[in-house]
Amino acid sequence: MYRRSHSRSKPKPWFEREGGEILRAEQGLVQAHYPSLTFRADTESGRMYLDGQITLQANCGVATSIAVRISFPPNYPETEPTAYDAGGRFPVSADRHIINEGQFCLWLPPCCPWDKDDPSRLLRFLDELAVFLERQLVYDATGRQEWPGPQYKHGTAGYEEFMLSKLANNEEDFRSLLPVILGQLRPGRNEPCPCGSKQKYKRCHASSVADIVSRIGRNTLDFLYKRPNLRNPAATMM
Amino acid sequence: MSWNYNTSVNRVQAHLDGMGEIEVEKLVRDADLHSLLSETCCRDIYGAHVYVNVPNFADLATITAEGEDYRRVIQGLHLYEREVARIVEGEDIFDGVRIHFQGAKLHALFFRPIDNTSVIAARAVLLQMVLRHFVCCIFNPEFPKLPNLSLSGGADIGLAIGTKNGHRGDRELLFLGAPANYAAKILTGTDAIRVTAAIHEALPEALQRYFTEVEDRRLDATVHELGSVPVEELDDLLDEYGLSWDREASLQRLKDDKALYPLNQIEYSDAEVLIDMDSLGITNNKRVLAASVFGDVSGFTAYIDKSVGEGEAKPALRVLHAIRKEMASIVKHDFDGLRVQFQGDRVQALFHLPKGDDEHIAARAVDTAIALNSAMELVVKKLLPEAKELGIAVGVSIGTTLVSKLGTRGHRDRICIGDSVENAATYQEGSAGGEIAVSSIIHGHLDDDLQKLFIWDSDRRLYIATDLTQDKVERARKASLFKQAVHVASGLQGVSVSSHATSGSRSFVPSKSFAE
Repeated sequence: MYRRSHSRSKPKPWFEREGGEILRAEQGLVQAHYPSLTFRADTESGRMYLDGQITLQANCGVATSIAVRISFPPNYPETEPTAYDAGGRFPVSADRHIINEGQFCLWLPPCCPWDKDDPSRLLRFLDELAVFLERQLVYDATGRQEWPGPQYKHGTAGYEEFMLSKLANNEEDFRSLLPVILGQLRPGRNEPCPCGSKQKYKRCHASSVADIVSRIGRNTLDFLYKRPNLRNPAATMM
Repeated sequence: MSWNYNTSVNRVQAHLDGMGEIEVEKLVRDADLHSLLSETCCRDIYGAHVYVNVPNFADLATITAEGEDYRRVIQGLHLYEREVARIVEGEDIFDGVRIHFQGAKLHALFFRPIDNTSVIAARAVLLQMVLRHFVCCIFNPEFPKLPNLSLSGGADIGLAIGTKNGHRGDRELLFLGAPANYAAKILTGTDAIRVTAAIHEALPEALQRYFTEVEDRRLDATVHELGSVPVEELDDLLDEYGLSWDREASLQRLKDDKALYPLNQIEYSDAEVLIDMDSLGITNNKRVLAASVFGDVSGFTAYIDKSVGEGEAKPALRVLHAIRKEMASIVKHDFDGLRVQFQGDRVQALFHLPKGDDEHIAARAVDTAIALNSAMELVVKKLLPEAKELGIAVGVSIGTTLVSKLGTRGHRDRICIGDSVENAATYQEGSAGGEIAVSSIIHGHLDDDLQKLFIWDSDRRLYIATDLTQDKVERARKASLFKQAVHVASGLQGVSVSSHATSGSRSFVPSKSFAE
């Protein structure tokens, strides 16, 4: 008699799914464009890594090689991989966008350009990484005074900068709508918008708030605003 | 006009491959050093190194107005150097070796009789006495329309390795080691004649008594300064040491030279094209707006002395020749400059084109300085790991410069004289390995991106860049690149990120960075 098993079998890691086709496609891409990087599976953790060096060429012919490790999440390609400074070449520093364990912060998570459906997604990721590393070298060459190119503020302030940009940089709107974004205030769709515009919420900021919440994620918002603000406890929202 | 890493690697490697086996032996018998020494035939030579300078000539070459007055400066300089060369090299006078003139600064060597410390030291000191007397009592009266010239001197004694650069038709004697270095370092900009404790100790008592012990604060060392020597006593001393300098004959030669090269035959002009230094002479001089660059291998004297002590002189000389030749290639081939001279482990270069365009001249000189440091840090240290402790110190300055080729027939030296030449040398001498020191005028001519890489040193009143290599300069110029779309090309050679599209490059606006 057929008995349905109650124990769920361990799902296959992403690189074994579809007969390994996803991995083969990514390997082909890496081999063609970043041949000094090699896929390496860690059988113990069941994780896949891309290890090797990214060599940045200056026009004068000087090559600077930087050891990197790219770690793939179990649900790849749903979410993007993470890149690390494998050789400890750069110091951990928020000013240079490198956090614990040498993790490179390539972008503000809600602005991640990762498109899981793009066949060239990993190539785009590696190109972004190469540009990020080039920016590290520019940062060093210019005396570590100013990060080359645009950047978000560090930590929560960076997320707020993003939220402001989604609210047309209107600080008053941001202050009025933050409780809505954080889920502390739940206006009805036909109620007046908390921004004070006298328009219905659904016709005013409902879609912007929904976009902000979906891009940042409820968990991240909770993490950002519910944790104690050690620098300024009075500023802690909840 | 630029420096390229791969070209530099290939040049240095080719030079190393073709250099041949270096031989270093102690010089044990008399020899003509010009014929004996070569890039690979080197000798450890015990001798006294003497530097004698007439600092006034640099000022005169810079500030003297055009016309006859300037011709007189050229005439004075030529005639001074001709007679000094005769005094130094005359077998019946001092029987020394004129290594070369660095502008108006003479570098001479006394090594005869071989290993005879007291006679060698005495000759070095007596030469300084004679030249001071010559300038004050013979030269100055003969040139009443020039301001009174004064003479400064420095001397040291010991072992230094003699070698030669290997360029056909352009060969110069090079001396490496403490005595060749300290003799120059104890020179002052005034009229003092100084010798090191080593040479003072080697002097017979009859000569020691003319010196007074003084502390040189710059070098943190005790040196000995020469006091006045009455003419009669100088003659007695020369007699005692069998030296037959005849002041009347010296004056006559000066008068003969003056008649041979009258003011109306001395010409000078600006230069539209790169100066051909071999075409220069007393009747064909150049007065140009030029940037002077001095690049010195910092730490080389200590390195060569240590290497000799450990019996490892050959690898150290290999390093020197690799660096030296690459420095010359950078100046001549990469930046179309004039390689004026090698001075031991230092190269002197001059940039005078485009004519009168101080902005481009300054930029070219600084690009050369960066290339010299790049070659040292990225190429020489890669190919010759034993050079890891060394670094290049560079000084750059700009100003009016007299360029010529002076001296006696067959032994003429390329010279550049002017305050900016002296300043560039001084900037370099005060810099550590990896530093590029430039005057504020030079700095003011650089583009904004390059200017930012130099830091104002308020003590030295100079702009200094540290560890600046060509790739860092390129990157500094990319600082504003990341606000717009970048182009990334990748493959076997690596990745290049640039502002313009190339074949197969991918374009995107890079993400705005963030850190938690």
